[in-house]
Amino acid sequence: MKLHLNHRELSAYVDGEAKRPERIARHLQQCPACAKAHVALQKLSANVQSVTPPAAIHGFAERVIREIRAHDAKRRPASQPRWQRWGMPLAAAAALVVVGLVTLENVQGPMGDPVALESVSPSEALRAALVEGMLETPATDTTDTSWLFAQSDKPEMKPASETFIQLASMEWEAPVRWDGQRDMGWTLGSVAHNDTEIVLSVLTNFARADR
Amino acid sequence: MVPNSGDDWDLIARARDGDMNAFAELVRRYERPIVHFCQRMIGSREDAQDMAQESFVRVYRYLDRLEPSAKFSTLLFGISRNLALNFLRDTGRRGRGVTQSLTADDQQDMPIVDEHHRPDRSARLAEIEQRILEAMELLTPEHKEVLMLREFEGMDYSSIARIVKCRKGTVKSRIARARDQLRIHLERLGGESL
Repeated sequence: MKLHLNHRELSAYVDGEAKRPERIARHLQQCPACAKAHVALQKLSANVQSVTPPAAIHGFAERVIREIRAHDAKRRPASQPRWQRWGMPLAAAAALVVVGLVTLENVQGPMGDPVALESVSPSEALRAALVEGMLETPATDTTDTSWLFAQSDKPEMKPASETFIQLASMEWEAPVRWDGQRDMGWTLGSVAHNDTEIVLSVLTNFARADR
Repeated sequence: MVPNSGDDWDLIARARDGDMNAFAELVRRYERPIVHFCQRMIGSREDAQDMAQESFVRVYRYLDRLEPSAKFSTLLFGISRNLALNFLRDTGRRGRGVTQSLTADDQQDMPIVDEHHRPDRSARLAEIEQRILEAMELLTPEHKEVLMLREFEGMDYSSIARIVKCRKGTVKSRIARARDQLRIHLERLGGESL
């Protein structure tokens, strides 16, 4: 017989997220030690919730709108995606479906050596962007890559749309930094750069055991 | 606490049609939670405001892609979270909290008192708040973010899992661990639990 509730379940119970809350409730009625731990967790949670958020910033929304309009104004005359300014024609860009194996040697850069995207070829940049930097990969769960399978033609790989939007919102122009060897695995995804969508099918990796 | 998302969609629909007042209203609705989240993640109010602004600018670009099944708050916090992690990585602060250490004098000034005997309740609450924030700064970003999304924003585990891109079970473990760590830090800072 299990004598006490584990901390993980009790914490979830406080949040209304326990799997079998009625069982926990029964246990709490019978076990003073767990009841005490439960009260302590409730108190801790209430204290954290009582933290006052910062005051509203005067004119913040107006500042955001000005920034959006400034962005729009800047983008309109050029309207040319940055990667085209790398010298890559649009047709080639649209055809930039990276299919095949990216070997470990290909995706690895020197340890801790930052590489600016504009200093490498577009295809290399795409690989690099998937491997590191712009796309935040799961911090600890290295097996679940479903977050990246946005816009995939495989029905079982359709994640919530906001995942795709989060990926698409990343700045492709940011520098890439490699910091070590990673495991490999198939990835199929779609990423937007400015107004252009890029479909990727690439063998790469998402193991982030070092994070 | 994040606003009720029920009528976000009306504003989103209007913003998609070019109504900037509608988008400004969305910004006002989420401004405080987002700035708060960014500030606690990176430890700087000024940088947090810039980060929040950038989050709203980015989310605006992708309004057209947002489907009704998606929550605007999940998308917004996800973008802010990515920006915050990138900031911590770029400034070399990702591995730990960003608080400044308390001085010995600071620590001596933090007695636990019985709330019933304290004449100045607001001072007591301010003290609790200060200690909680200091203890939270000592959490790792992975623990801090899930605890904030749960306690400050009142999000359920599924929403948090979508934002931090992990499984719901992982969120459950991280929140439990974060609370455990927070309790330990609070005891160290104040001598006993709040």
